[in-house]
Amino acid sequence: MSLWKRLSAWADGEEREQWYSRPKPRREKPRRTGEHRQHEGVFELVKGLNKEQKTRVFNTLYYISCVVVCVVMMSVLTLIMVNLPPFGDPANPTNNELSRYYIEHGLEDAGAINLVGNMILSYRVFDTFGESSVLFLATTSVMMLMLRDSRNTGRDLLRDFRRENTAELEALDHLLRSCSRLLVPMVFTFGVYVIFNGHLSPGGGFAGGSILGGGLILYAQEFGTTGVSRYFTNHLYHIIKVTALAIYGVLLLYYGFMGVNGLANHIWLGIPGTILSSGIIMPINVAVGFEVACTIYAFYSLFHKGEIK
Amino acid sequence: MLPFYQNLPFFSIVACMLTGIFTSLIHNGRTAFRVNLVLLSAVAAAQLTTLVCVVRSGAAYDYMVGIIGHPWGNELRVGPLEAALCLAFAVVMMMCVLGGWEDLNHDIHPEKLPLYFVMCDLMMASLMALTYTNDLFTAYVFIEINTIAACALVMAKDNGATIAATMRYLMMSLLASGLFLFGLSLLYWITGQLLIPDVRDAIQQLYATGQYAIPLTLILGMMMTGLSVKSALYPFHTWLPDAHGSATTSSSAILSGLVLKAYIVLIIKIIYQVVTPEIFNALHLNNVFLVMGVLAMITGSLNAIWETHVKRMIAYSSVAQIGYIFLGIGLGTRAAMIAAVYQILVHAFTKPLLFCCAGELASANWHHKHLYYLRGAGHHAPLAGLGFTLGGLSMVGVPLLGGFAVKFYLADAALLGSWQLVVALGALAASSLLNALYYVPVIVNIWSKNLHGDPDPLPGLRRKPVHAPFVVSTLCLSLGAVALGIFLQPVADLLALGLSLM
Repeated sequence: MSLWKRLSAWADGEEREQWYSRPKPRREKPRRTGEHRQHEGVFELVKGLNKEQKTRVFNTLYYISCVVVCVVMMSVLTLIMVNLPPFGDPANPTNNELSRYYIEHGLEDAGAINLVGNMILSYRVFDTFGESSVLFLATTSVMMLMLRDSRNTGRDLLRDFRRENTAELEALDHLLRSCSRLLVPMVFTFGVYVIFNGHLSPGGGFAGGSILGGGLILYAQEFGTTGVSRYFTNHLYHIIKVTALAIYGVLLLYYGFMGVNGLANHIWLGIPGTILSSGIIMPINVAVGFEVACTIYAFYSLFHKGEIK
Repeated sequence: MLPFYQNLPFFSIVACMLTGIFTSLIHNGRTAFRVNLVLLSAVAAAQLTTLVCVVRSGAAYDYMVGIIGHPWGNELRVGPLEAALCLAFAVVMMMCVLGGWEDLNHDIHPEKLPLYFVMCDLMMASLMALTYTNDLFTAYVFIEINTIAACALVMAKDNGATIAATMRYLMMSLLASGLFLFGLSLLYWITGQLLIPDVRDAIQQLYATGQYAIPLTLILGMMMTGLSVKSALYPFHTWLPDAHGSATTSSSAILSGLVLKAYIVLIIKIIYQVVTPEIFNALHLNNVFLVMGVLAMITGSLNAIWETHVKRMIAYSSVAQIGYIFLGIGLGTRAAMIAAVYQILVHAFTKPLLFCCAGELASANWHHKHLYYLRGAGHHAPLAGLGFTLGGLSMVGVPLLGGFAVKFYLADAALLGSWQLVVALGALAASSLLNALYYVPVIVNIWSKNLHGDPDPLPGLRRKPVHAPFVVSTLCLSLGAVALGIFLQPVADLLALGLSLM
């Protein structure tokens, strides 16, 4: 339908059938997806060729444009790199009063020996709350897509899952089982150690939480998902996840409000170096740790089974 | 102790995030919907209070979260412009959810419906944080939240078309996030700061001494490219028609009305607060925006003319309307920037109106979205037909409606330019004509029924009963579109005040 035809039809008051013709009945195969429709514009140029030739022309154009984009991007980045300040130079712009302040005053302001912990969980606590919400959001969107419901899981698929579960329990891998029986307690202990020492040594909630999550996945490999669901259920998962983030959010609200208004926040900083010190950093580390562990296990479980068990 | 109203933006952001987190415990879609509405009304009230107080005090303020002292922690910056935009975002978000509530029940599995509102809550938090932030890295964190939530909103309908569209959107979005993050890290490497006022001082010093001139230009180019991909500027708009055309009604409305705008607001913040307009114009980056904006205005409309799927047509029209905003940014003057921000507001009200009404019209015609089947749909859903007519006429630029105000201010601002005058006025003329060419036939189409005795495409349809949420949403959004077209001067004055305090 050309533009002019439509215009003249409009002006002449002709039947509207001519503006919008009845869509062709949908064929079963091949389906006209958005992608096909898009490529037709390119194919207008190569009318008269058959479909294979058209695809070949498109592929050639596609590869050429890929190379061009990559070369342009590479030259831009190279151009930036050669003009940047040299690495490790004390006169660099990044070595300014900001990093000096964090190193000199971090301990008295926030109370953690781990200066990175001070920075991300005290000075920039708002950013880090955003980052933890990103994890929460990612699991929620995966749940939206993968969680089993009547639309995406038929009866056949459920039967297959059940058969897999029984097969899994019958044919357990003995090597894996004995190794992980040895490893899982150590992994859990190490994860908890990293979380609770986040303000004293390198580590913290993000690192420790991923160790815990890895331990949970190993445990699920060992005993099957039915073994995990004996104590880690969907219900518990939701409670842990929401409690952890809620504690973080409430601490952020309190700390942010008191700090900006110049009020004393009554959070005991403790003696630096002891385990119960550093004010809000330790509880937030714990909250983040549980959130990260839940996220990692939820990804595994959702992609594996389509539910959290 | 600060005056209490100064805490409201921070409270609103954290309240949105916490509500989103608690909503994931709710199993009932209707309850989650109500919680979402209560939250959005509370947020809107908070933003209104902030706006009134800030305008009265006549000054913008910085809000330092947590430890006191200027450059050490996260900061928010609240001025009249930010508060006004957030107020509009909250109101429009509420109207999008209300207007698409019926389609949400139709399109989304009831078990997954509460999760949809988790996404809405966190989307609202990210929209506000992107508008209020005074820290470039906070902006990046909330860009991430925005990206994931936006993709999930598209994906929620969960059929083949939306999954394909989400994949494309996700790829483009992540590429853009990567460009922004990479640019941001390099910018930190040459300036040593993340807070916006400090970065501005550092950039001004670098520009004055001519140090790192090449990296500075390229880094700004990278960051701007990343944000333009996210806001669907012309050559990067390819993800938009699929994502906005296939998603459920509320998602399309939220994505086109709000999500694109948040990134543009960030671009405007970077131009005004980080780079300053003088340096931005001296680097000729504004001319790139001008050219791309003009191309978007023309090609978006041309694509829309040939589109026969009503939601894809409206989506292509978004590409054109985004072009208007970038035309305003590209003209590079204060007056043109006011026009651009005005267009952000107008489009935020008009495009959700169009999407909600198109969704209602389609559902009155057995969920057919092809224009052929929508003939006479206005008689089956009169309120939706009226809303669509109003929105379409506003897009064309009929006086008394918001679209006219934008065109008026853009033309007014272009008169001061030299070569920009011809380009901008020509683009405005051509784009208005093209807008009319696809909106007017559709409007005639939805109102015409059996005028010539031609066969009814869908015989046996009755008038669709109206639902209260849709009525409220259509009335509010129409009222917004009309009010923006009538009260030109007060709104423009408010925006001018906001831009001068930015």
